[in-house]
This record gives sequence, structure tokens and C-alpha cells, in this order.
Amino acid sequence: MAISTSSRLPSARESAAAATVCLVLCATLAWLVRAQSRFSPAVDIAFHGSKAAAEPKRAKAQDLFSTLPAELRPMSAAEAFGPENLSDKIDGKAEVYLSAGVAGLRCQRMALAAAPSTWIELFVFDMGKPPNAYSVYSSQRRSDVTDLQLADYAYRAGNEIALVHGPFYVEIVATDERPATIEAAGALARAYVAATPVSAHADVSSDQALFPREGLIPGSVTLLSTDVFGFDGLGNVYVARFRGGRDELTLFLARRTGASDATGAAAALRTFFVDDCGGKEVARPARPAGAVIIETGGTFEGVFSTGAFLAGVHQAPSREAAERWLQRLGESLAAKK
Amino acid sequence: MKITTARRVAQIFFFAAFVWLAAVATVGTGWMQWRGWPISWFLQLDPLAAIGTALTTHSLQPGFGWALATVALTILLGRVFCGFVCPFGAIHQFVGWLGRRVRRPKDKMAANAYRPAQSVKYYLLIGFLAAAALSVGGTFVGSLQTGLLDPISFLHRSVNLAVLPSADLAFERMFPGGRFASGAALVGGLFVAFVLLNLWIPRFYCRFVCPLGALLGVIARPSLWSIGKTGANCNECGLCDVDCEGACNPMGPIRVSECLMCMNCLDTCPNVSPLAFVARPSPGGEVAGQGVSRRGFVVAALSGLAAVPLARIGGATGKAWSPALIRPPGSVAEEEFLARCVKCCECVRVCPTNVLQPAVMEHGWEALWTPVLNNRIGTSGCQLNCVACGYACPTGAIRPLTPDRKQGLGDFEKSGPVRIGLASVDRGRCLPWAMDRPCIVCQENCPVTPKAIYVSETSETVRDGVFQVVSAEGTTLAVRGARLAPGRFASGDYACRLAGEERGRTIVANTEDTLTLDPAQRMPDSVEAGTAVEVQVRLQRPVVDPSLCIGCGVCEHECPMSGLRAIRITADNETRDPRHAVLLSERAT
Amino acid sequence: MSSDAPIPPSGPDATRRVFLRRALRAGAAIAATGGLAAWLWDRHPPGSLGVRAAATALPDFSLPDSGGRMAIVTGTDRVRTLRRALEAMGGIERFIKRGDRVVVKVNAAFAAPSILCATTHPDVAAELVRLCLGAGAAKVLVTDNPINDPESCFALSGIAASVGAAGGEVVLPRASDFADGSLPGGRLIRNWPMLLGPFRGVTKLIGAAPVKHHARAGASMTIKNWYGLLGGRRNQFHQDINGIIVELAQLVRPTFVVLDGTMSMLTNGPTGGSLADLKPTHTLVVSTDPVAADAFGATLLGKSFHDLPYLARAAQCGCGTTDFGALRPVRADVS
Repeated sequence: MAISTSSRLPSARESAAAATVCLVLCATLAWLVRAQSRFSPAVDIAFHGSKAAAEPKRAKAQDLFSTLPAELRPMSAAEAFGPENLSDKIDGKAEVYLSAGVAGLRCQRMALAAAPSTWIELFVFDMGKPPNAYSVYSSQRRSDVTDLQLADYAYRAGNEIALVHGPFYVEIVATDERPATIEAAGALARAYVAATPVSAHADVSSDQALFPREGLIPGSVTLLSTDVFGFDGLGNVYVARFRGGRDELTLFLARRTGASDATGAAAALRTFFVDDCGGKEVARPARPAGAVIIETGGTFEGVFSTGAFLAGVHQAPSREAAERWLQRLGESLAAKK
Repeated sequence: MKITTARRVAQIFFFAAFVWLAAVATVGTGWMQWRGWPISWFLQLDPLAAIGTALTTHSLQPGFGWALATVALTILLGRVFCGFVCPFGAIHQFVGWLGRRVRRPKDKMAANAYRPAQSVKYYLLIGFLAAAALSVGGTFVGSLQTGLLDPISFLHRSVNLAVLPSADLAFERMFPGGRFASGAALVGGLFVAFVLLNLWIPRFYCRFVCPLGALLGVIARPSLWSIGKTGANCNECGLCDVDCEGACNPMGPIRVSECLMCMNCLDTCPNVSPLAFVARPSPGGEVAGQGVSRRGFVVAALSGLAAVPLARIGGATGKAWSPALIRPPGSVAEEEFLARCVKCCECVRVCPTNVLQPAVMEHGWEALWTPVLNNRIGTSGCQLNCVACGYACPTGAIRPLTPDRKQGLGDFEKSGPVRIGLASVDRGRCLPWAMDRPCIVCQENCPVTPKAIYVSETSETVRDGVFQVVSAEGTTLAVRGARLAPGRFASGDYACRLAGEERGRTIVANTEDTLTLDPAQRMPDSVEAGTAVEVQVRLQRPVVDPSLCIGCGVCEHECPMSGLRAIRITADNETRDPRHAVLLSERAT
Repeated sequence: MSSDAPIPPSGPDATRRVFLRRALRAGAAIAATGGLAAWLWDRHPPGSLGVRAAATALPDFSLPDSGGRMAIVTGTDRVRTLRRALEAMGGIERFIKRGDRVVVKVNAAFAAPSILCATTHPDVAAELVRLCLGAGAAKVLVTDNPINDPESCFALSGIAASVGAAGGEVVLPRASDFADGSLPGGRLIRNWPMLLGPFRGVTKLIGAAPVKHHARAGASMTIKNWYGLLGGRRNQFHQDINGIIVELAQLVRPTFVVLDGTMSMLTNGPTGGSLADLKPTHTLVVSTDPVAADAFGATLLGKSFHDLPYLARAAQCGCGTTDFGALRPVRADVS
């Protein structure tokens, strides 16, 4: 038996009080709803991470090497980068190094003690293996350069010195070309080489020498490490520009592990030109043995293999030029290898 | 609108709000996740938690401004918190109402008569506050045990540890994969017990146990208004007791401290307004006291005071500190922790990996229901980028960190990461150390950079692994010795070492009596018959670097030795207490 | 909380007055609560997670005009050599004035009998006490934080008895005697519990140590003696033993030190254990420069200061000089 409670009429005061309570509840609800839209830091953090954690740790390297030439003084702290954040330093150019197998970059700026507003930045790319270092060196070689003798391979182009030292590719970039600055850059290069012991050196001269001598455009020998001619199955190929008469074309050769490997590479390259590049086989010259000339996109490719070498011509202007240079290349290889 | 209607609406509102805030307390931005919901709001409203922490730490966390509002409201209007707001009280009231719907008014009135035992809650309050008040001049810190019976803590604990996980067992929506809580049976059992007790005496907890109610009852003494008799029309029928929640005797001199402001007496009174919300003192007379005798006060206070040194002599906060007590990252040192933790288990609730668990008795009674890491439970150890627990804690027992501070990055590189413990490899149980089996799951999962676990490489001859060569053909050796299980050594972890050589060659295949070695590794030109060979397993054995390990427990969690793990975390080297440092250079500033 | 008696109702005018009074009381209660909350309000951002910043530790007890003086006295009787050495330094009155409160920091690390010379000899401790009291010191406290149990250390080494007989007071370290201290700029001694209780109100500090070989540090003499002022789990510092000794040299600047090389422990230090470990070097040094004292003490062990890396580093930090000859020590003999 329940007591009837509905018969009681609340007074005006009571109703006002009850209404106030309801108002407070509404205000509380509004406050709660507003609060939920301002995320707690715990939630923010969990979902957006922290800024510092997002930047991979920049290893605080010491000065790159301790024996700086007297005329230079460190201007900023040494920086180190790995393959994953290489582009933070050199932006799109990172691709060149990444495809060549770069392991890391260390760099530092040094100012001239005598003229602090002049500075030089030293980039040391650790390419892992000497051939990789040579590869990026040769593929970026500027055209109007002065060869230098201070490292395995070195040249100076205006305000920049580039060199290969063991597995390292080093670029020394100065703010100007004044004699004192160039002098300091050279001293820095020498000091770096002296202070950095390496166990293996790139030795490309022997393979380079296999190219025919005449017609070779000096300084054009380059080692391409991957994606040669756009074919991802072809890497570690020496290419060189040649000129004969009015023709200019590229010769290439690559040492493979054995004869069967070279034959297989030649066949694969042939297939690439025909199938993927829409090429058409147009000739099979007698010499060198097994050579094929393919026309594609208005120019002519030639491919053959001899012994452990894959070789050929690339973008010859005419079929005759392709045949002529294939023959010369074949003779050069037969004579020297 | 009647005030009782407003009260019911308020109770439903706050109960729903509590349930909602408990349900959404999952780290995330989804509609049913934490977002910006003030999940600790009810605790911040709680003056018992505020006064308790103020006594133990001599400071007041900013969030407790809400508790000030509760106190002000109580000083003005009496225990409206108990009648309108408290969600635990709402549960008790509801269950009590369900229970007595079938009873006669006479029985209901009897159930709501004042009982002297209602003063027990005041003794409990005195004991708790005495234990907390023992903080003297920074040398001795009191113990905050109000959380054991504080209704907000109690309800949070029950919901977080028992109700939500068990409800979700059926649906697996809130906690995919399940949610575990140690000692959930005890917590859930107490909850159910107190709820069911309302079937015997309504609002049992509120009347006899609740220390917050006791505190509010004391604060209500100077309240400006309360329920009271207007002095007219009362025929002393006693029907006002029928639904009286507080058992405060509204007909006679009303016990102001017991009145829960439920306003039910206004409804059940059959006459025209003999009872009303009146200015104090009630014209019908009132009892301002709480039924606490002087002797009882002293006994309760002394018991509270004595309990703390008795606990501390056990050494749990000193030399006998428990190495298994791994506190959440951001926790303050143990003595201060015990002075701040109100045992609400909000941190346990928000922990995304379920690695935070309430301690039961394994670390002493003072640490009952305080959070501790258990790396075997849950989905991983303490996640590197997570800082949720510090933002869930209402009293500052766990300080809010930023990920940079937690990991020692950016501005905090010099001070280093927050460490909660140190991993150590049990070399008697670790597969590569003791059982010649490759593993290193721990090293793979170590989340810090550089990894705090590195490997020491070695080769061990397998059991019965010495044979003699019968003949050799290319890279395949036919051997004489035990019969080999075909393919057993072909996983890439095994090598065959010829007598006289230093290193073995990887075995790529084996049959019952032949071993085939990796052709890329040059064989000697001839292998004579009778040459001894050993089959070796290449092992990478994990080693912990104590200068890098932060004690996150991921390694312990991932260890395949899932019973007693072969790599375990202890609280050594935790940054929150420099006395626990292991390495000289790792001592905190 | 005590009045259970019902309050009777009253009339309307009284009611209004009572209401106003209660309103004021309620307002005051709310204001008081608010004020209390404001006073306790925790404004500080979370600091170093519970570790309080510590004050610096010890004042400089050295005398400004002493300029580094040293006396080296040979003889077999410790009391006579000590007296002679202090005379040579200008007398105890140069150092101890009337009313001074003096702490004599002895080496009571082990509960070993004095004959093994692993601890400060009780004769040295007692004579120092006597001399200080004779110079008018108000109080002489003898203390150390031993490795073994304090009570048995001071008892078995004989120091407790001899000091008591001389009128000094042995202070056994209690938990409340330790407080966190720091060496300003120190790397190791940062917020480390130190035995600072006995130093309240103290004006002079004398160190008294035997000459001992030490397996980890090379030697344990006057500077290593200050290790006994460290509390907590100080064995951690053995990971950088020279570093901690150098920091102790910077932290503690005594009035003077006594280095007792009457019997030097040449092997198996710092505990020794056999008389065979001892060599009768019959020398006692008093010096205001602990680094110089230790550098001389090294020679008693058959070493030079080069063999003790902490010495050169301490000298570099300005704690003294390893070139004890430059101090022109007064030499005497009382055989």
C-alpha cells in the first residue's frame, strides 16, 4: 500500500527551487559536452605523438675529424644523417645516393679563421663500398673540372672539391672561389684523407681502360649502379661518351661473374629493349660474335657479351655507327681483358 | 515541480554521468572514448579526497576547486551532495526502494528509525583523518586510507575493476580481447554486498559506513537551511519516516547531520506543510551532534594515528621496499604516493595495455588497491608513447608527463628518460642462455632507441652433436653417429664445424645421416673420412644495458617462457626514488 | 560533536536574528575553507617527481690564516708525537678557541680491535679530545658513520671508552642525523644523505685517520676518511672511487687533520686483520692541508702521490697541494 504522493501541490518556492536544480543540471550537461571537445593531453599525445620522437635522433657527432687545418675552425656542430632522413639535408638529391646504397652522411661547416664570413661545408657520404662511392662520384662529375691527385679520385670544379676515398664520397663546398678559400678547401681535403684510414679503395682504372682509347670524351666514364638505361635488372655498368666524326654516342661495358652470367645479362637487356621499349631487332653483325642491334625510339642500341663482360652501345645515331662502334668495342675488349 | 522530482532527475543525471564517464575512459578520440571528458570529475567534487590529500601533503591539487564548491554548498544547504549528486548513494537509494516496495508502511518506518550505529561512520572518518594528519614537518608522512571507503573511490573501483570488465565479457566491445583486474572478485564482491545490504536497511552504506557522508554531516552543522518542522499541523503520525533515507527522525528533533536532503518526508507527510525546508534552527527542534562520545573520539583518533607508524615499521617505504612494486611512470616516490593515492583505480581503467593492476595484499595493506604494473597481464608492457595514467590521476600521485619527458627527448635529453624499473635476464631460464635454443624476442621488442637489450653471439655444440665424417660430396657430408631428425638442423641457426677449424658453416639441409652445408661458404678441398665434426647452434644471448633500460616491461611481456618469465622487471633503478638507483651516473637530480 | 540534546524552538524575531547570525557563521565558514584552500593550492608544476632539492652541506672549517702548515713527527708513542706535532704547528690554541664546539671525525668503520690499526687509535682520539678541552672548547664530539654496526664499532675499537674517559662525547649516528646534502657543482654528491646532525652549531672540525692501504682506492688516509660522513647506499660510489674522494676533498675543509702512521697498514686494506699487514713506520703527521698529508702518507706506504689518482685531481681542484715539501713541514722526533 503506497502513500499517495501525487496529491501534494508544491509551493512557488519549491517549484522555483526544483527549477533551479534542473537549470543547474542543464548547465552541467552543457559544460560536460563542451569539455569533451577539448581533448585531454593524454589523448592528443597518444594520437599525434611527440615532435621530438617523430624526428629520428640526430646523433650528436663530434667534429668530423680532429685534425683540422690551422686555417679552419668549426663553425657549427657536426651533423649525422641516415638513409631514412638523408633528404632532410639534401632534399631530392638523396635519391642519387639512396639508389647507390648510401649508409650515412656526416657533414659540418667550417669557417676560415682569417675571414669568418667565408666558410666551407664538408659532406662525407659513407657509401658502404668503394665502387658505390665511385659510382656517385662519376655520375655527378661536372664537365669543366680540374683533376686533382689528393685522393683515389678527385677533381675541383670552381668552388667545389669532390673526391673518392675508400668507401667515402666527399664533397667540399666553399662559399667562394678566392684563392685563400680554395687553398683552405684543398687543405681540408688533404687533412680529411690523411685522418681517415680506409681498408679498400675503388679501383676502376682497370675496367675503365677496357674502353677504346680513341674518341673517348675525357672524364665521361661513369659507373652507374642501378637502373641502367631504365632497366632495373641492370646495374654496375660503366658508361662512357664517345665522339667519332659527327657521331656522339654512349658505349657501355660491365663485368659479370662469369660467361654464362654475361650471356644471360645480354639476353635480358635485349629482351628489355625489344619488349619494354618497343624496339625492333634490325641487324646481327658478324662481329662481335652474338651482337644484336635494336632500333628503338629513333636511335640504335647494340648489345653483346664476350667472356665475362656484357657490353654494347647506347643511343647510336645510325645503324652504321652502332655497327662500327660495336666492332671497336669488341676489339678493345678482346685485346685488353 | 516538486523538489523530489527534481531530486530524482538529479540523481538519474549524475548516475548516468558517472556511468558515462566510466564507460568512455578509454584513450582515444572516438565518440565513446576519452576525448576531453573530465573522467575524474566526481573525484574532484569529493571533499574527503581533497581534505585527505591536504592533510597528508599540505597542498591542494588544483582540480579540487570542485570540492570547495561541494563544501560551500553543504555549508549552505546541508547534505544535498548525498541526496542529489552522489551516484553511489543513488544506487543505494534505488535498490533500497526496490526492496521495500512490497513492505507495509509500519515496517518501512521501523527500517528508517535512527540507529546509534550510525555514528560508526564518524569514527571511521576520525580514524582516517588522524592517519592522514600524521604528516609532520616533512619528516614523517601520513597515510591516506580514505580511499578504502570513500564512496566515489569505491564506486570507481567497483565499476572500473569489476562491473565494466564482467559486463564486457559477453559483448567484447569495450575491451576487445578482454580486460583483467587482479582481485576483482574482492572488489566486486564488496560492491555487491553493500548494494544488497540495502534490502535489509535502506542506504545501509550511507548511514553506517560512508566517511564522506560523515564529513559532510559534520560540515552541515552550520548549514543555513535544513529540513525541519514549521511548528504547525503536525499530528505526530510518524509517516515522514516511511521514505526517510537518512534515518534522521524528521518528526522529532531532526538529526541535521544525518539528513540526506532526500526531501521524501515532504511527500509522505499527509498534512499541509508541517515539514519544510526551513532556516535553522528548526522550529521543531534539532539534534546538532553526531552521536560521537568523547571517549569514542579519542579511541578512533589514536587508532588512526597508531596505524601509520605500525605500517611504516614494516619497512615497506624504507629498506624493505618491494622490488616487485613497479609503479606507473610519473609516480612520485613511495611515501608520497601512499599519501596521495585515493585508490580510485582510474589509472588502471585508462591504461590501454591493461598492464596497470590494483595491488591486493602482496605489497602490504597500505598499498591495497593502489596501481602496480603486472607485465604478464595485458597486451604489452608500458607503451613508450602513452602518458594516460598521469592525466587520469586526480590527486597527483601520478604526475602528468609529456612523451618527451617520459622518454628523455628534446628539452629533457639531459635529465634522461623516466625509468620505472630494470629488466634482468634470468640466465637459468632464458632459451638461448640455458637451453641452447635461439630466441631474442626480448631484444626485438625492446622499444627504446638504441635498444636496451643487446646480444652476445656465441655457438654451442648441440646435445649429441659430435659426429664423424663417413664421406663428403660437394657440400654434403655423410656422417656416422646418432640418427638425425631430418630437417632438424635446416633452420639456418645450425652450423657444422670441422675439427681444426674455428668457425662452422651453416647447415642448409640434413637427412638422417647427411648434412648439407651452405654452398656459398667454401669447403676445404677434401674432407677425409673420420674427420670429427660438431653441429653447433648459433645463439644470440640477450644482455641488458642498465644505462638504457627504462623498465617498460615489453620484454617481459613478450618472453615466450610464459610462466615465470626469463626476463623480468624489478623496480631497481626507478627514477622516482634515487635510493633505488643502480648505476652511479643514473641518479636523479 | 557532543551535544545530542535537542534544541527547543523559539519565536519569530529571535528566528530572524538567529538566521542572520547563522548566515554570518556559514559565510565565515565558506570563506575560511576558501582561504585554506588558496593557501594550500599546489601551484608548482610537477618537478623532479618527488625528489626534493637539497641544501648544501658543510661549512668551511679551515682557518683563513693557516696557509697550509704541516708537522711530521717520528716516535713510537702516539700521545707524545701528537703533542709534539701540535706544538710545532703553534699549539692547539692556534686552532681551538674558548667556547668552540669541535667535531673529531675518526675512522671507526670496523668493529676491529685497535691493535689491528684499521681504525683511528683510541689514544689519538682521546688526546685530541683532551687537548681541545684544555684549550677551552665547550664540547668535543667524536663521530663517524661506520660500515659495521655503530655501537660495536666504537666499543670494540676502544674509541668509545677512551673518548669518554677524556671528557668527550661519542655520537652514534641515528636516522634523524642524516639529511640530504650536495656539493655545489658536484656530480656525485647531489642530494645524498649525509651525517650532518652532529655538526649543528659546530665551529671546528678535526679529522683523524690511520695510514692504510685500500684495495679499490689505493690508500685510505685523511681524505678517504670523509667517506664516513656519507649515508645511504654509499657503496655505489665505488663505481667511481676517485671521483667521490675528490668531491669529498672539495666538500670537507677541516681545521686540521691528523694522519697516524705509527703503524701503517701496508697490505690487505682497508680491513687488514693480521699484524703482519702492519709496518712500524712510527710517523705521525698533523696538517692543515689534507692533500699534502695524504701525499706524505703515500710515502709511508712505499708509494708516491702519482699512485693515487685522486690526489692529483684534488690538488687540481684547489683542495691542497701534493708537494708537501713546499709547505716546509716541521720535522721532529720524540723517540
